[in-house]
Amino acid sequence: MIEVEALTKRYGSTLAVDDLSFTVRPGLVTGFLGPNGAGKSTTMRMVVGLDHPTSGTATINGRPYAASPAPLREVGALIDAKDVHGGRSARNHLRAVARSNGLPDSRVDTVLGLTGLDAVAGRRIKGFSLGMGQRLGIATALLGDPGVVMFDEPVNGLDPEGILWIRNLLRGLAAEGRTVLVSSHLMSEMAQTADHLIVIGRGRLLADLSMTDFLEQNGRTHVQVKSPRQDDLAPLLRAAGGTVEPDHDVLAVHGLTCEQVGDIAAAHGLALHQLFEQRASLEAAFMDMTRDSVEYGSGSLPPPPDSALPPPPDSPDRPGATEVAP
Amino acid sequence: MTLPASPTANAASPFALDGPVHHPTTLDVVRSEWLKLRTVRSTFWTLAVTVVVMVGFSVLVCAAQVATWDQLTAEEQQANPINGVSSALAGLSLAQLAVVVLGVMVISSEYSTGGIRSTFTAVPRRARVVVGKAVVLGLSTLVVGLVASFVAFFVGQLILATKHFDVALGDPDVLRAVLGSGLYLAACSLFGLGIGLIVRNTGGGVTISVAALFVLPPLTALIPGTVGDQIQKFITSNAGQSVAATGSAPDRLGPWVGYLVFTVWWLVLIGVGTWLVRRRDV
Repeated sequence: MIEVEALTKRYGSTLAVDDLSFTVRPGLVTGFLGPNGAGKSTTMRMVVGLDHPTSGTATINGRPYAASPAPLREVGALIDAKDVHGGRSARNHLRAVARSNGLPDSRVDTVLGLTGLDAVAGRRIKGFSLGMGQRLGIATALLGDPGVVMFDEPVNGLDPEGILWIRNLLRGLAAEGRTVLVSSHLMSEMAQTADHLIVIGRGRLLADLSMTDFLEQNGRTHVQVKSPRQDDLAPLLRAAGGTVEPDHDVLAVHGLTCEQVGDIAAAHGLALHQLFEQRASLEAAFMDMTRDSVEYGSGSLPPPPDSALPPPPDSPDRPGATEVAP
Repeated sequence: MTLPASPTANAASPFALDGPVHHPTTLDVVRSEWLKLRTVRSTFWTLAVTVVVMVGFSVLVCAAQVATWDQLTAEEQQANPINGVSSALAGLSLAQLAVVVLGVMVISSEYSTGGIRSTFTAVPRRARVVVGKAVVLGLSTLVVGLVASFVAFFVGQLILATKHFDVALGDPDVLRAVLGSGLYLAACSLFGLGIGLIVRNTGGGVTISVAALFVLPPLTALIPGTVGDQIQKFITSNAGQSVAATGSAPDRLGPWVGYLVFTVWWLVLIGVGTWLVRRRDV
C-alpha cells in the first residue's frame, strides 16, 4: 500500500507536485497517468525517498521508505533504467544491489531468467539497448520479491513483444496480491493494463477512479450516419429516442444502435451513404481531462476530436532540473 | 518491526523468495560496496598507477643519487646526505594523487552515471552507503599502499646498497615511515571521498583534491610569520606526510600528530559530505 498525503514539491518557482493525495491499493494495477512534466516521476522519486518533499508525506505500508527495515523486500522500483553504472556487467550490478540488502546471489539468476537477460548477463550495461536496459531495471526491482512495485514508464523503448510481456507481468504481479503502480503518458497503454487510474496534471490530482468508471464516462460509443436527406432523417431519429448532433455532413447519434438507425431509415425510404459505430478515443478523453494542465502545450490549436495526437514534445519530467546523461 | 509476509508466500509466483525476511545491516552494504569497487575498471587503473609511481620513483631517485654521488664535492655531500627512506618513498607525493582520484571517483562516478539512484533506492539510509564506501576504499588503498610502499622501500635499498647508503627496517623510525606511507595513501583516498561527496563531480573533485594536497601546501611556505609557519605545518599533505618521514625537522609536525591532523581533515570532509548527501535530492 502506497499512501501519498498532501505531497508538495517545489523547485524554485516551479511547483512540480502540488498538494497531491492518493492511495495505491494492493491487488490492482494502478495506472499513474499524466502528460510529460505533470510530476509523475517526481512523485515516485519522493515515494522511494530519492527526493525530499517540500511538504506532505509519502509512506509505504504506513512508514516512510527510508525507515523500512528491509527496503528491497518491501518495494521494487524502476525509476529510470539508465540509473546504473554502465561499466559493470548486468550480473554484477544485480549482485551488488542484492548484497546491499543481504539477498542471496541465487536471486540474481532468478530475476535474470524471469526477464530473459540470462544470455547478456555478463555484458557491460553500457552496450545495452533501451529495451534490455528496461528489462534490467525491472529485474532489479523484482530482486527482493517486493510487495509493492513501482515502475516509471516501463514500456518506453520496448518493442511490441516487450510491451506485451510487461503488461502480462504487471497483471501477474497484481494477481499475486502486490501493490502495483505504473506510470505512463499514454492512455491507450493504460487502458489495456490498469484496473485503477490516478490522473495528474501540473502536479495536481485530476482524477482518481476505477478503469471501469473511466471507460463508462469516456468510452461511450455513438453512431455516425451520412444521408443525402439528413434533414428528414434527424427528426425521425429524435422521435425514436436518440440525441442527434449534426457534425459537418454526418449526424452523430447517441442512444440508438446502428441497426435501429438503419431500420428507421429503411422504413421511411431514406437512402444512407454511410452508417457506422464510432468509439470515443480514450486518448482524446484523457487529453480533454488534462488539456488545461499540459506543461508544454502545443500552442493554441485545440486537438481535433477523436484523433490520437502525438504526445507533447518530450521533455524532462522534472522542470527546472537537468537530466543526467549517462 | 515486522514486515507483512511476502504476498507470494502462498501463491505460486515464479520468483517467490522463501525464508525469513533479512533486515539488512551496514555489513551488507560493505559487501555490496566491495563488489562495486572491484567491478569497475577505474579501481584497477588508479591502484596500478599508485604502485607503478611508488616503485618507479624509488628506482629513478635512488639510481640517480647513486650515479651522481661521486661527482659531488665533499661539501655538497655533507649538505645533502642521502636519506634512504625519503629517496625510496619519493613517489608518495605523486602516488597520493592516484589514490585521491580513486576516492573521488568511488562516489562521483555514481553521480555521473545515475547509479547513485539505484544505490539509494536499495539503501535509503544514505549514511550507511558512505560508511560502506569508506570502509572498502580505506582498506583497499591501505593494502595496496602498504604493498607499494614496502616494494618501493626494498627496491630502493637494493640500489642504494651498491654505495652502502641503504637503511634497514630495524633502524630508528624506518619501519614507522614505510608503514606510514601506506597509511597516508589510505587516508588520501578518504580525503578524496570526502571531496567527492561534497562536489559529486569527477572533474571538480579531482581538481579540488589536487589543489588541496599538491598545489596549496608548498605555497603556504610563502606565508610569512609564525602564523604562516603554523598553517604550513597543519595544511593537508604537509601534516599527513610527516608520518612517512624520518628524522625531525622544525617545519614539520611529529609523525603521529601530523597523521592525526590529516585524519581530522578527511573526517571533517566526509562528515560534511554525508550531511549534504543526506539532505540533497538525487
